[in-house]
Amino acid sequence: MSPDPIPLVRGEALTPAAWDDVGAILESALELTGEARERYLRDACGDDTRLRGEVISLIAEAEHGRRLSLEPAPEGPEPSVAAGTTLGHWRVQDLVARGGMGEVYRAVRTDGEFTQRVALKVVRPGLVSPTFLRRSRIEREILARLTHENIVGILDAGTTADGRPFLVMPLVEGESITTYCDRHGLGLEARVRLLVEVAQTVQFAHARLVVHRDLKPSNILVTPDGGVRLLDFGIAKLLAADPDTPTDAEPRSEIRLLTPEHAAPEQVRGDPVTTATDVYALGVLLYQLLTGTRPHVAGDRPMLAFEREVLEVEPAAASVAGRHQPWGRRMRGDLDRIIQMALRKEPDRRYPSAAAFAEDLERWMTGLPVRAEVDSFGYRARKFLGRNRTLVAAGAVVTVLLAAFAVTSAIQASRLERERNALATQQATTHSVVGLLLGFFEKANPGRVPGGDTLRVEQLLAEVDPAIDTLRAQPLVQAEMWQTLGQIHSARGRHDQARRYHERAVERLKGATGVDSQALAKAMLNLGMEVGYLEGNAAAIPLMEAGLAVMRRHVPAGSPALLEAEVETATRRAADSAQRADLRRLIQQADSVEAPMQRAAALNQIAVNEFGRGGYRAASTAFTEVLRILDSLLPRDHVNRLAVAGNLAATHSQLGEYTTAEAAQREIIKVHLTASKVDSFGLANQIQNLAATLAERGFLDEADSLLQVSIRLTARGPSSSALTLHTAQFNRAQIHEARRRYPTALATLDSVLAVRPANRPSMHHVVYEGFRAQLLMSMGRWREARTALERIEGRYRALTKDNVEATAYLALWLGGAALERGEAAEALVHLDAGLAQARTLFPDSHRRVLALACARGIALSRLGRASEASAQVAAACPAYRENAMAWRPIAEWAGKNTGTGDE
Amino acid sequence: MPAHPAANPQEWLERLTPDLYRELKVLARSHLRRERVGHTLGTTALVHEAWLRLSKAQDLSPDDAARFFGVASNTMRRVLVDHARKIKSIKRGSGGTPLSVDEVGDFLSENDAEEVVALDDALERLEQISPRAAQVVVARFFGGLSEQETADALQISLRTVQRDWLTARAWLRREVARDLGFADSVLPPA
Repeated sequence: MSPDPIPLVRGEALTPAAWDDVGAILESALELTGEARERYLRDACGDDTRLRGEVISLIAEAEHGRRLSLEPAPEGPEPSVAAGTTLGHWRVQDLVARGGMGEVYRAVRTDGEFTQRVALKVVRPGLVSPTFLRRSRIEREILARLTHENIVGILDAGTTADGRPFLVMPLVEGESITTYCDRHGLGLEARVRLLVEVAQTVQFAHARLVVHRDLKPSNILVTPDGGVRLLDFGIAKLLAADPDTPTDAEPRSEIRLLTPEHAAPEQVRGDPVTTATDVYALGVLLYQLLTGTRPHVAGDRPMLAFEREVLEVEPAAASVAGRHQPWGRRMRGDLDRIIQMALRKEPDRRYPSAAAFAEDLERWMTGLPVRAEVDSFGYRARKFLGRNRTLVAAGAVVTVLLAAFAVTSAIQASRLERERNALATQQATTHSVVGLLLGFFEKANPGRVPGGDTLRVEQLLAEVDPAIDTLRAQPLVQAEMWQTLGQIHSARGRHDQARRYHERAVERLKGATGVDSQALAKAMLNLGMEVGYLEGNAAAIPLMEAGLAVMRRHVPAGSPALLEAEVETATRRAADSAQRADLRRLIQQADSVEAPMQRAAALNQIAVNEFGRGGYRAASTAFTEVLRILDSLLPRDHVNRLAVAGNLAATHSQLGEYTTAEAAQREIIKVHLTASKVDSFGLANQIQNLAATLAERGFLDEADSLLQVSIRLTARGPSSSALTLHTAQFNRAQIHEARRRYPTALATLDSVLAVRPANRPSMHHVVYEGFRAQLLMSMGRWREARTALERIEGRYRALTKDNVEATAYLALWLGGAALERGEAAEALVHLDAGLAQARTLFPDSHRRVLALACARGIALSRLGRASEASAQVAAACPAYRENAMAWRPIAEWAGKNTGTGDE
Repeated sequence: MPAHPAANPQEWLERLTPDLYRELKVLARSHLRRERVGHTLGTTALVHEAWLRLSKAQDLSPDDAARFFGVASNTMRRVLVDHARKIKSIKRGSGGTPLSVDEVGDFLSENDAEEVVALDDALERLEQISPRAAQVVVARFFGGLSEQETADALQISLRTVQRDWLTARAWLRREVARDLGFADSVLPPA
């Protein structure tokens, strides 16, 4: 036994002669393994332990040492394509890299004025069989279709003189994503955002059945202007081993070809590669971007040891590995979980798609609960419900938004669901044109693509469009396709696009002969609905009436299609008694033909109208019924079901049933957050309504922070969400007022009022103006407040004549103003009327009833009607003052009244 | 560029060096960071590109190419090392008015710069042990020459180039790793 070798330090002991000896021994030793190598070293080095130590140290470096960045790719005997060779339009310059299976050359274009520099990749000799050639041709065609701004595609392809396929792609200006991030000193969010873009690009390819399988920093470049470019999509597979060629020399050729530190467990095992493999690689990439190191580092260990680690060992949490980063602590929790989920050993327990991964990162960026830990609903609930709730004694006036829902989209949703299922299970033939189109969209159905997910809809829509243009000879088919596109755009909230398609469809059908008039009617109705979204119902009604007229001529009364159209039109008419009669009639029809969805839509509209007039009890009954119907027809997380459940909860809240309302609202929000598709607009509304409920209960802090969440969610949405945004800001102003932060409250309210509603003078707007006067009175600016009230009173009464609640507000403000002026008799008139109205809506314990009753008591006492006054004051004022959401002037007068006793 | 080399090739090359330094620096700036293929800093094409330009402009022979590549590799080493040292001194914040990285037209990342400097130091030590091996490394690393081109440029056998390359690469990996503080990254098997 020889002693342990002692490596020479810094080579100082080496002489030129010794160098050559070391080189010769090293060269021979590297060709041997195991025992044979040991034996050789003993023989060659004899007793010279320093020589032996040096050689052993160098062997380790040669085999596992950290590569220097200036090292050129290891050279084989000779590049298989000589410099200067012309392949197609390209002249090969030099070999720049060599992988297990392929070589990369730099090349330039031979024709043309400018010299286009490209990378040319070619399969190494001896790896090509006919099967391989056929397969690579098919895959090349797939890759050629992969046109995406962020994907560096194939410029050209061909075959070398000796029959090997080659690919040509552009050389990209840019640096690797890791270098880019470091050199620009990007922060946490910016890094995550870049990765989201990469993941979305990967998803684009996945939807086209292309897996990258070798995602790593050097394949992901960032251009000088910050654009992401993915190189080598699918190339690993194209250049991977030919199954027909025995490759004993390189048993796991693919992993050899790959960078082991980025390889997923299934790649290490040699299992099939799927889209989940890319999800893993994206996880590795994110880990590296955020921590500066990879989850598993090969280092100098034997390959097998490293591979075992990849297969078996959980990597350190990102927040631990990256604790030295400025954002180290911020990764704790959600980001750790997200990364862990992407890096799971079992492909089917990772994110189901690159898109899902990207979406979760986006959720993290916007402060939403993340989905990592999919199984644990409890986690999400904790995240949402666990916010600190601080009890602040104050109050807010609340406006609740109600959602109406369109019956067509609900019916379509259930139909789509059915057709998708039918397609997926192959139980129905895709006979109709719409079926074919749906089939197109089906391509990226999770059931079809392993590990896939919903496709990038925009991309597909853009692809379908020109295809439809070719159907000129078949107007009916073409129009139906356009309508389907329109409906898809509409469902995605792109109403302007939707309108364009429906307009095309209407024109096409009007211009064609022999067209089924029912199709035209349907197209007109669809167009009307989109116009309604964009310009308001007034503009929609004539179009829809016209469509309805066409339809009535061709469709028997009572058919579901006609009923659907009638309900759609009726719900858009002005909410008046005529509309109510219409809706009642339609409900009866719906019952007689057993069309529950139509019944639900009509009933929901009735309830919404009731709510708008302050008829909360009637609304509550109707919403309950609608919800019962929808529960039997739609999935729990369907947007329409959630909207109606939200409507019902909001009604409870208005009725002062806060506990019931809060429980329901929290539940609805939970469902929203776990829904398969986030409806951020619906979610924003529900969060806002919960804020309203909490504010009424005095939980001002939580209410205010929820309102801010709602504003953030809404601000990113389409312009149609302006009302939600304004309501949220209005409610925040109320909270500021309750906290006696008057200047802030006034500024917030003025910012809402500065945005004039686009079309019609709205009730909301005038109510905001009334509240501005209330705020001025709280601030003691009575004269201004009175002038404002005088100015708006006429308009206010006109616009709120159907809304008892809003009329009651006005009575309180006018009564308050009169009391301050010392006009107790006039005040009493206003307050009597207001109190009577409020009592038709609310129980006596309701804040609005208490306010009016207490103010009335004060007025009576000023008028010297002591006995009546003391009864009223005793019944209402203490509760009102305690309720501290109280309007300041009334609360203070009440304090004097009860404090100093009756005078 | 100086006139045709035929009269005195060696003199021509010497006079060429300052121009070549500038030219390679420009090329490095425009291509180096942008065209990374895998791990390698793509120095290969730079010297070749310079050669292509030069040989197009003047009627040069393959013999000239071999000489040129030798000189150009050494020049490229100076371009990269000068630049790397400058970046390091900026990052360290020492010496005179600090320049921003943008001002010097950064074409090496900080990590690359660290490594280039460590490599240059190690190469100086290697020159003490085997000047020939050091030249092989310069040609391969900085000139991006292939093994055959290196053999031609240094007028030694391909076998020698291959063996020197194998040994020097392993040796440099270890020396650079130690210099950069990865001292224990490679332990000899017990």
